[in-house]
Amino acid sequence: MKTRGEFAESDNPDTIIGYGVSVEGTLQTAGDIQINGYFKGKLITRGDVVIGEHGQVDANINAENVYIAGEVTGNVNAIDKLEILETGKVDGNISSTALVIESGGVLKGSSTMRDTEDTKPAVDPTYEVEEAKKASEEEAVKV
Amino acid sequence: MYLFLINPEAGNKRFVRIEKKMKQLLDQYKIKRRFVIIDDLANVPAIVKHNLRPIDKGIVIVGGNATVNAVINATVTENLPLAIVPMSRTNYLAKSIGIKSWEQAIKMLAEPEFRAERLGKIGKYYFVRQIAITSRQNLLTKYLTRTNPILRFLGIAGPGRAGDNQVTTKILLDDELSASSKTQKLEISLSPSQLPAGSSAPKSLLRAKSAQVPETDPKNRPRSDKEVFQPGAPAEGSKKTTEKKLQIRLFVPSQTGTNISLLHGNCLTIDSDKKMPVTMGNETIAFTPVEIKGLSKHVRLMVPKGSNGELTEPITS
Repeated sequence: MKTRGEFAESDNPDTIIGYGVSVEGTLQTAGDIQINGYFKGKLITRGDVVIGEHGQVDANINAENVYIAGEVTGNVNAIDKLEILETGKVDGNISSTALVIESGGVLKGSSTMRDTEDTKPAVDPTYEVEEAKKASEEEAVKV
Repeated sequence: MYLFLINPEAGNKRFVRIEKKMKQLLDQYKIKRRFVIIDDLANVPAIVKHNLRPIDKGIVIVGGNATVNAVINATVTENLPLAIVPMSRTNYLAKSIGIKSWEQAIKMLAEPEFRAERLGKIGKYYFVRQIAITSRQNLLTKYLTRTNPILRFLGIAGPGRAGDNQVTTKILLDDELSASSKTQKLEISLSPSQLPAGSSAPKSLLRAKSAQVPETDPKNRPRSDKEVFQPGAPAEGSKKTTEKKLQIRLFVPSQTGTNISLLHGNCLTIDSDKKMPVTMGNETIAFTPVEIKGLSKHVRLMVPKGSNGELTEPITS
């Protein structure tokens, strides 16, 4: 968790919309965004987005990872991971590489998972292992 | 040679008491100087203009917050570094760059290091580092509210409550974003031009197993059932910092404490339903509604060796 000193630093690029604060417009930043208040508009970041339990977002979200414990009305595009937590609600379409919806989380919309074929590690099929075993057993018998 | 601009009234006329010691220390460090006494802060621009010619090393401000602000505004177009010799413990800018005493400041003049500080602007007024906008009542107003006989008769006099001192504010950032809330205080800081090479914003997110994602309020502590994780540092070049010059912190009181919001912009316009003072240190420089800009201009400050001008104390209490 960030310390008071880290938040006091004027070069901290993160954006936080606290409880009780209402923001409208286009929010484009390179840091992380945390919303515990109300946001309406457009949300674009190269970092992560966290929607707190009291957070209400009426916007499309584009981010690296998105964690939702509040309410989102709009489409969510997470380059990597999207998590809808127990109290989270999304009313819109979502797309991500990895998706987690906890028990209690709500999604009203469609989900698109990005193709991860290229990133899957190579796995040797079992029949080749069995053939190799057979071959070594035959050699042992010959000997 | 240094130009010493001295406010004799600062720090309860402290300069008069320490003048002899200061001169002894300056002689000890072999620091050439010219002493000029400021009779009125409004005359600082004229004083600087008339005394600048033989000065090549820098301008030394001997005084408090008001003196520092006046000299910064008078020397914006000059290319001379500034040093601060604080005459009181509440000299905000001196504290923030690591100068704790006048003796330390004099010693610093012998071997100074320099730090470029970005300038901000409110109307025609320049500022450095940080300003605050607060709705806090002063002590006298609080006392009068508490002891007012009419309010006591009506049964509504008493110590301040959580809802007090909140002012409805509207903040416009770069014409792109508008934020509104009931705020208690706003702090506007100037971001440095660039982050140090190789640095990246520390990335730590709080993920609650109970699905509660609390505000990252500095007063909140992570509970035992929460998982704090720190994803690995971002790949090189994958995350660049924002170039917004101003960081604004809104302090919004709530039942559970104070919530802090963090926003960034190049130009802020702040409006409120009640006039709120804009202060630098303890000096009021403007009132809302106000437009605040972050500039590309810099002022060079002399800082103690080894401090690199890093913030040594938190700006807010």
